[in-house]
Amino acid sequence: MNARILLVDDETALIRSLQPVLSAQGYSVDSAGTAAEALKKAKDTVFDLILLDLGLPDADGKEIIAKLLSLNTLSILILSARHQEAEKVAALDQGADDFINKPFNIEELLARIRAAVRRLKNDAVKSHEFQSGQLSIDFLKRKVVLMDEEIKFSPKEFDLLETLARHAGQVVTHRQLLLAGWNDPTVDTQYLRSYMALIRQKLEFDSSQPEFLLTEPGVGYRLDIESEH
Amino acid sequence: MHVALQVLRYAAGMDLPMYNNKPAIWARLSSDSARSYISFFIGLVVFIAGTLATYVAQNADRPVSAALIYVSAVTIIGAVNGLRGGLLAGIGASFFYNFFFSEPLLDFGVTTSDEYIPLLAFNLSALLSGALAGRINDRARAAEIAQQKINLLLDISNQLQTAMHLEDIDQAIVRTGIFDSADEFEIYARSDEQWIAVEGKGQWLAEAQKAIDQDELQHVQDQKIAYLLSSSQRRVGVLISTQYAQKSERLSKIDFAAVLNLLSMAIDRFVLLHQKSEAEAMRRSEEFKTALLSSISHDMRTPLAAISASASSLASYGETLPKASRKDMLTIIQDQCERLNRYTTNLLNLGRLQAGISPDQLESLDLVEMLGSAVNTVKMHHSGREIIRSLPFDACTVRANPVMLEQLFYNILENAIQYSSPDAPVLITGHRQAGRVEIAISDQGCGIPVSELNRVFDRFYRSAENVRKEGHGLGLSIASGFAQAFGGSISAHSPLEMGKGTKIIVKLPTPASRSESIDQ
Repeated sequence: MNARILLVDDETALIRSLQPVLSAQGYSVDSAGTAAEALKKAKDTVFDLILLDLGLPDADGKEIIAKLLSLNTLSILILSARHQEAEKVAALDQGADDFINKPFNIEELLARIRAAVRRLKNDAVKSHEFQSGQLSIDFLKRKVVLMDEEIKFSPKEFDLLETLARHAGQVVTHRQLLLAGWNDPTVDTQYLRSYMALIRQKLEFDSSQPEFLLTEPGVGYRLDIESEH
Repeated sequence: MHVALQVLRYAAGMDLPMYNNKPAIWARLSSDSARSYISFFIGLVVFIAGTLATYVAQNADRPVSAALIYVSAVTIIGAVNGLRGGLLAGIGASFFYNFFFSEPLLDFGVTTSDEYIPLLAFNLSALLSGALAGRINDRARAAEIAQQKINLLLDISNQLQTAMHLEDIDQAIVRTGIFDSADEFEIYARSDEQWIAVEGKGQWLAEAQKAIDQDELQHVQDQKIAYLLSSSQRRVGVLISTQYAQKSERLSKIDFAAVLNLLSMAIDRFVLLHQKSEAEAMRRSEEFKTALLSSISHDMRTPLAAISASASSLASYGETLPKASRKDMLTIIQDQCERLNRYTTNLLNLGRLQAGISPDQLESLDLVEMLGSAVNTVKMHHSGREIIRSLPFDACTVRANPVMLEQLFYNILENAIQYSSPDAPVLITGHRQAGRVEIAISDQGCGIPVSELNRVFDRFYRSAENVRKEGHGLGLSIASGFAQAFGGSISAHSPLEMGKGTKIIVKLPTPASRSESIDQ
C-alpha cells in the first residue's frame, strides 16, 4: 500500500508545487492550510506521514505535534524556514521524526520521505539487521561489516551506530544519542562528539569530510545512507 | 598646680576648638558674632557688679561673703561667655582680689604665710569655676553646631541619594547650598571614555579632562578648582568650581570632604546606571537586529522554498508530470519571484525611510493618478479581486514622491486583499477638506483587535491571531513612514461592522494653489 501523506503549510504555492510530484511518486497526498484543518483531517484519516510547517497562521506547528501523533499519525517531518536549532530540537523532542530546511530540493525531500516510510516499515517488522551497499549491521550479533571486512566497534560505539542506523536517513538528536549510549540525556555532548569522531574514523573514507555520518549543527547527527530494507 | 595646668592647657585650645583660627573644625555661623558681643557685654556688667559687691562686702568686714560673691560672678561669666570668658574673668578677679581686697591692700605681696591659703584658694576657685562653667557652655554650643552640621550633611546625603540623573545631582548641590549659585560650579561624570555633563553646562570640559589624570584630589588651574570624584575603584568624575566660589559658610573643609565623598557615590551610581542602561539599549538593539535578520531570512525562504521545489521538480520529474502541473509550476516560480521582488522593494523602502526623505525628493503630484496606478499594479498581482473606487473628485494635488506614493497605496491595498476573503471587494473612498485630503481603504476581512490597533504600523508587526506568511509586517509600517514623510498621517479603524473589516485612512496635506481651486 502506498503511504498517505498530509501536507500542512499555509503557503499554497508550495503545496501546489509539491502535490503533483508526490502523487507522481505514488504517494496519496492531501493538504491543509491551517492547524485546525490539519487536526480535522488527521482525525478522519490515518496518515503515514505529515509534512508539517511550523509557522501556521492559527497555531505554532510545535503545539500540534503531540496531538497529531495521538491521532494515529505515524511520522512527522518538519518543514522549517526559520533555521533555529532550538526550535527544531523542540519539535523533535515533541515527537517529530525529522526536519528539512526551506528552501529544499525535491530530491532531498523525497529522500527524507523515503527514509521515514522505510522506518515505519522497519518498525513494523522489528528489523534485526541493516543493509546498505557496502555496509551491513547485524543488530543481534552486534556485527558491522564494511566492504566485506568486519570492523570492531566498542559496545558504546555500537549502541550509537545502531541508533543512527535504525533511523537511517533521519536526524537523531543529541538527546536520543546520549540516552542510547549513556542512558542519561544530561551527559556532556563533548563525549558524544568524541565517539562520533571514532565512528567516523571506522566508517568514513575521510573522517574530516564525512559523507555518511553527517552533523546537523545544534541538533544532532544523521546517518545519510539509504537502507535497502 | 595640676588643675591650673590643665586649665591653661584648655585655654591654649589643645583639647577644644578655637574660633576663627586654624585648625578650626567649623566656622562660626554669622549670627554667632552678634551673640558673642551681647554675652561679652553681659559678662562685663556681671564682672563690674560682682567687683562692686565684693568691695562692699569686704568693707563691711565680710571677707568670706566677698570671696564667695566674686567666685559666683566668675562662674556666671563662664557660663555665659564660655571657656575664654570664664578664664579671663577668673584671672581678672584674682588680680582685683589680690590687689584691692586682700591684705595688704594695693599690693600683690602677702604679709603673713597665713594669708597665702585664702588667696590661693580664691584664685584657684575663681579660675576653676570660670573655666569649668565656660567649658560646659562651649560643649553645649559645640553640640548644637555639630547637630546642625549633621543635619545638613544628612540633608545633602538624602538629596544626593534620590538623584538618579546628573541633572538631579546638579540641582541637589544648588538646593543644599554647597555652592551659592549654579553658575559657580560644573559637574562631570566619566563613563568609560565618555564624558557626561549636565545639559546646558559643560564649558569647563577641557579643565575636567586635564584634572582627572592628576594625582592630587584637588587641582587648581585657570582660577578654577577641580575636585576629583572617585569611587573605590576608579575616578568617576570631576567637580569644578570657580576659585573664589563661596562654599556655604556652614561647611568647613572637613565637611566639604564628606560632601565630596557623598557626591562621588552619587556620581558613581549615576555612571553605573548609565552604563547599565546603555548595555540594555545595546542588547535590545542586538535583539532587534537578530529578530530582523531572522524575520527577513524567513520571509525570503518562504517564496524561495516554492521556487526551489518547483524548479527541482521540473528538472527531475518534468517529463513524468502532466502538462497542467508543469505549467502551474512555472507560474509558481514567476509569482514567487515577483513576491521576492516586492519584498526586497519594501526592504529598500525601509532603508530609505531610515535614511530620511528630504523635501527635494518631493514634487507636486496628482493623488488620483497615483492611486489609480497602485490599483492597477495590485490587480495585476491579484487578478480577479474587486477594488471599487468612489472618489468625489477627479484630481487632487499633493506634494509627494511618485514611487513612494504609489507604494504607500499599494501596501495598504495589498494588505486589505490579503486579509479578506477572495470574493469580498476592497473599497476606496475619498474626502477633501480645506488644506488636506483623506483617502480611506476599507476591506471586509477579519479585522484587527482593538488592543492591537495602535501597533499595526509598527515595523514587523503581525497580528497574533492572523500570522500570515504572505505578510511580513513591513507594508503598513512603510506606508505610515511615507505618509509622515509627506507631512500627512495614517490611522487604522476596526472593526467596521459585525466585528469584521478594517479601514485604513491616509491624510495628506494639499498645498493651496491655483490648480487646487481648478480641481474643485
